[in-house]
Amino acid sequence: MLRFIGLRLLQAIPVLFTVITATFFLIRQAPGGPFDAEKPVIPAVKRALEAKYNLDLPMWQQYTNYLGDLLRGDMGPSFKYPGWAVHDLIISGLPATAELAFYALMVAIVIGVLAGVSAALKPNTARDYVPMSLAMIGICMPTFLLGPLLVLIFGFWLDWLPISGWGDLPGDKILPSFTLGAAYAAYVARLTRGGMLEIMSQDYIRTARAKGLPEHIVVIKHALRGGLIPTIAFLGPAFAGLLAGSFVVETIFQIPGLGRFYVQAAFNRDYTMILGTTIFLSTLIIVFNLLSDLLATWMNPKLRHQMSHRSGGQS
Amino acid sequence: MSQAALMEAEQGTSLWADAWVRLKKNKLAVFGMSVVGFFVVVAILTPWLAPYAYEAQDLELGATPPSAAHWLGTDIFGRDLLTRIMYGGRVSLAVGIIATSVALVIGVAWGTVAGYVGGRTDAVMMRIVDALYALPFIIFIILLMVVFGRSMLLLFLAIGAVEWLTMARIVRGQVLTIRSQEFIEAARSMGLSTPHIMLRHVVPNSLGPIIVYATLTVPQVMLLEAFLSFLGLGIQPPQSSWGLLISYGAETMEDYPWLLIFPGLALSITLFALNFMGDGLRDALDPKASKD
Amino acid sequence: MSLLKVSNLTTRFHTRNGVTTAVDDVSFAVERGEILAIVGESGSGKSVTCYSMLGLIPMPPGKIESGSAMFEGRDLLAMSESELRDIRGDEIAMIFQDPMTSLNPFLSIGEQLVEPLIYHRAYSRSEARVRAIELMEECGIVRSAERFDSYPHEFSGGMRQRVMIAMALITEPKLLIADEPTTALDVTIQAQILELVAKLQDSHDLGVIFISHDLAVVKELADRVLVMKQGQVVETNVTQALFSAPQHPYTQELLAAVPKGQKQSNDLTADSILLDVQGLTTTFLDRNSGQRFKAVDDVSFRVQKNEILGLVGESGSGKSTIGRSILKLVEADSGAVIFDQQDLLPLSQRQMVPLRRRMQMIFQDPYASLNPRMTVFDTLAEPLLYHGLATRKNVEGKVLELMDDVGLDRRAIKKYPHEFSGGQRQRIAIGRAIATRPELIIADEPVSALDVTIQKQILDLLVELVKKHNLTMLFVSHDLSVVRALCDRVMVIQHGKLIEFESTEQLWKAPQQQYTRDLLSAIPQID
Repeated sequence: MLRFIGLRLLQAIPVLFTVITATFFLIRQAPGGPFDAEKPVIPAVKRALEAKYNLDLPMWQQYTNYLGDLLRGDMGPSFKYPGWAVHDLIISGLPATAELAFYALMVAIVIGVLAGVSAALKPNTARDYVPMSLAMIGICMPTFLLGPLLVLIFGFWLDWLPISGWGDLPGDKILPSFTLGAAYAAYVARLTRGGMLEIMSQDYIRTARAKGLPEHIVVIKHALRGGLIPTIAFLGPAFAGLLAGSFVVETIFQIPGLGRFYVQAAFNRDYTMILGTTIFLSTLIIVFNLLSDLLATWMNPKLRHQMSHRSGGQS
Repeated sequence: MSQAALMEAEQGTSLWADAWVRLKKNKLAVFGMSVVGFFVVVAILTPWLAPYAYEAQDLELGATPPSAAHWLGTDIFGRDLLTRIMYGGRVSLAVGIIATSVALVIGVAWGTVAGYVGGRTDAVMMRIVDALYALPFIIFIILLMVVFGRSMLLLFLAIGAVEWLTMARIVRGQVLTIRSQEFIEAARSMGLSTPHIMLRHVVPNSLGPIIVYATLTVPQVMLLEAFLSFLGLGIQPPQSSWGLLISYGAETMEDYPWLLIFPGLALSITLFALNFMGDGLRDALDPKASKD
Repeated sequence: MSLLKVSNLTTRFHTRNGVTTAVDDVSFAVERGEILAIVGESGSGKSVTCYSMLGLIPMPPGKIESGSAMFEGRDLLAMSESELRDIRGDEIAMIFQDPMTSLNPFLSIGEQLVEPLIYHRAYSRSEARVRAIELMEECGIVRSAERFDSYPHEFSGGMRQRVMIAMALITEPKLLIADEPTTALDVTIQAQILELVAKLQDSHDLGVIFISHDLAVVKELADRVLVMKQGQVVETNVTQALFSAPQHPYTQELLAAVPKGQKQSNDLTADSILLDVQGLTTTFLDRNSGQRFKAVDDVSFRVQKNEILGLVGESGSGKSTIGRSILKLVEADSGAVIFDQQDLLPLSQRQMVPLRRRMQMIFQDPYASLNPRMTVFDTLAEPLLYHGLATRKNVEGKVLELMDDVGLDRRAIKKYPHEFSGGQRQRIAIGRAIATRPELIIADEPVSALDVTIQKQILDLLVELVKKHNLTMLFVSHDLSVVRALCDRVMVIQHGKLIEFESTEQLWKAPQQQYTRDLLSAIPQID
């Protein structure tokens, strides 16, 4: 089992390495360097700046230097925020983003699973149609539209909730969390419904009923394990989507998180900051994909069996 | 004799005809198809249909709510919102359709080869797909747009390059399922050549899920484009798209809410219609439903 | 008072496409300690009858329109869902057809076994465990304490069915409903399971409703038989009387369709060899172990012209792989397949093309063996055109002739496979196989997926075509009764090896191998 997990972790290393390398060289291709600001900088100053940040070294040397620094957890200094190291900026933005992503994920899982299961148990009735129509709206109402609309309705018109900030005013976390989680609640609801419908039509559910088990036992004990596997496998990709969505949500609600830093860095051509944030977010996404994949595999006894008896295995 | 017999032959109903009948019964799907059809026609005819010229602005007028002269109101530069939405729709739909086509072409080619050739080729090809799947693509697209500037072509390619992965997986799975069916073995035992088998037996039977997935990819792509445009990383002015209009609308929504609401409605309705159409197609083409 | 007395039960399904009456005014009774068999072909309503009583049909679309089912004086149909639930799995238990899908793959065997005791009898987990292990042992699961925590995928099909039986009997029910419990199992396993059911029925004094399509099985096991057709009971009688003097024409038809008797061997001239298979070996990669295993292991035999040669074995024995290796649908590892003085194995697929016209295959599943997007005409014309046996101009006439040959209505020429019944589809597939006028036909379980009356029609058709077109046929089957009635000679395959090869007469008279004897004695007999 541990060996299986270890192997999967090892498989993630080349992926991560690819991400780092590709990002590093891509960024260097960008037209316009970090010091090509609005007002022209005196060539000598520019050279000095470039020397300070080692931009005058050959590309491969910059690359190996960077890899070496990275291994020590040093992502270099930010080009745009003098005196700040990239990893310090990341650490300062992380708590808000992590909290936001966590709440949004909770919104997605709790609402999505409840709605999906409830719909699957009474297919083609109001209990199916109503939540599934709402889910459809959730999918067709992207974050960047839902966010402003919610702000408009609950912030400006009704004046119930604060429209920006994170932890400054009571209730200011509600709108961002819901905005970010809503679309994923919808996806989760649809997936859960599909998975549950599939399982509920299996022969072994008939067996469980033939045994005279109460319906809630049939659903919770016999159906849910299998029915939730597609949902759990989706959580990895969903997490990646949540992070991307946080760029938008943090911009809309002016939350000082990683996402906002990233978008700003992208506009400012803050090389080291983009590079560092990309690597950091990618690592998070890869780890989350791995976790949701492992969990989905582990939930299936047949695959779990293969996992613990034979490492490698099919993915 | 044979002519006489053929004359009285009963016309069979193909699975396509069957699916079409089921699709027509599905009101939501028909609604979806009509709306999509309508939007596509409007998009094509926009230069003739639009009430105002794309560049026309009236700075003195400024932002006005919907009125008889401007059905959906005007923006802060006095530009007609309906005209802006119509032109923006052209871009959004074009991105959706072209990027989906890119994904379709790469995905179908990749998936078919992997699925039909099988063996080691298949293993290698699908490993590559798996590895690419693990990459955090959304971040990469943002990066690409930042580094290479915000060109439309790049946007098509970048989005298409992400979406083909799933398409390749679906096509491969479909080809594998069909390949293991006995009618393919029957065709092989008849001595039919591989291209003949692919063309006559494999492709017609794998089209259904491909069509369905392609239909459902279009709204995903449009969402992605709108998302990037909203962040300022997609379509650039003077061009416009629904994502960009929503982004502008969001900035001024407190004072001019219609600038947010109407582009938002346009995007949401289109996504709705496309999703209903896709779901309807899936139900209609589902082989399970048509087995008996 | 009967244990169960069903009166005038009618169940309908209300779907978008209309209303179908699945169970039509059915009445019967089951006594304590009696085995009642309900027999019928697919769609006869035999399963729905039992599921209706227990509230196990999906409602809607299903609806019980009328009737009563008195179980020890209480009407099951009038009960609330929770009252019915108390009876299900406690006083009335069920076992199902497919043990592979009827057990929950996500829960351990033990967990599933103890559930009825915990929910119906309020046993503690540890008490239930003790009882479950006892019963597993009684149902023939060895080392049951060790296997209590195993998952279904770690058991074979036969073992899973034993688990299902143990699970059904754990609350000491009064009535057991067994829905085709051996249909998915090999014949030797079937014999063991039937024996187990009979033994437990006796020792636990159970009433049993045994649902089956297999008359031979029913005859060996049941006390009384109920014959159903299209939702109605057509005949009911004690087993002996029903089999010796069937009253209803449908019962007579069913009985007549059961393959019986033994083919009288033709005088085959030994020098007319059509196909000579020497040392054929085919290996597959086992995904689980990563090792290659021999699906076909050094098999040699000769097929004589105009004979029907039976190839029998249980599932996984490699019998189908032999047929597919001969046709090069799978690559053999070594050996020789000599057809018309030419070894096929070294030939490339291209070199095989002219030979393919002369050897064809018929498959098991008529639902999967026809391209669903091609009409009858397309399907039958394809081989004719491809091999240049017809031109665009005269292909229609040839297709119509083929349709006559296999007994299809000419008017159906433009129809698609999904518009036909299973039997008719198999006729299309046979038409495709004989289109090129081949000399050798390999028929891989061609009637296994069909109901017994349809099976009879297709077998008759095959015999007729073999005679008419001087065909030679390799008939692959797991059904020994069919093989005995149809084939001149029989090969018995076990674990990829040819273990016995005899004339049909000789094999049944004096089987040489222990395995053959086991196989033959496991077949339920009807006469």
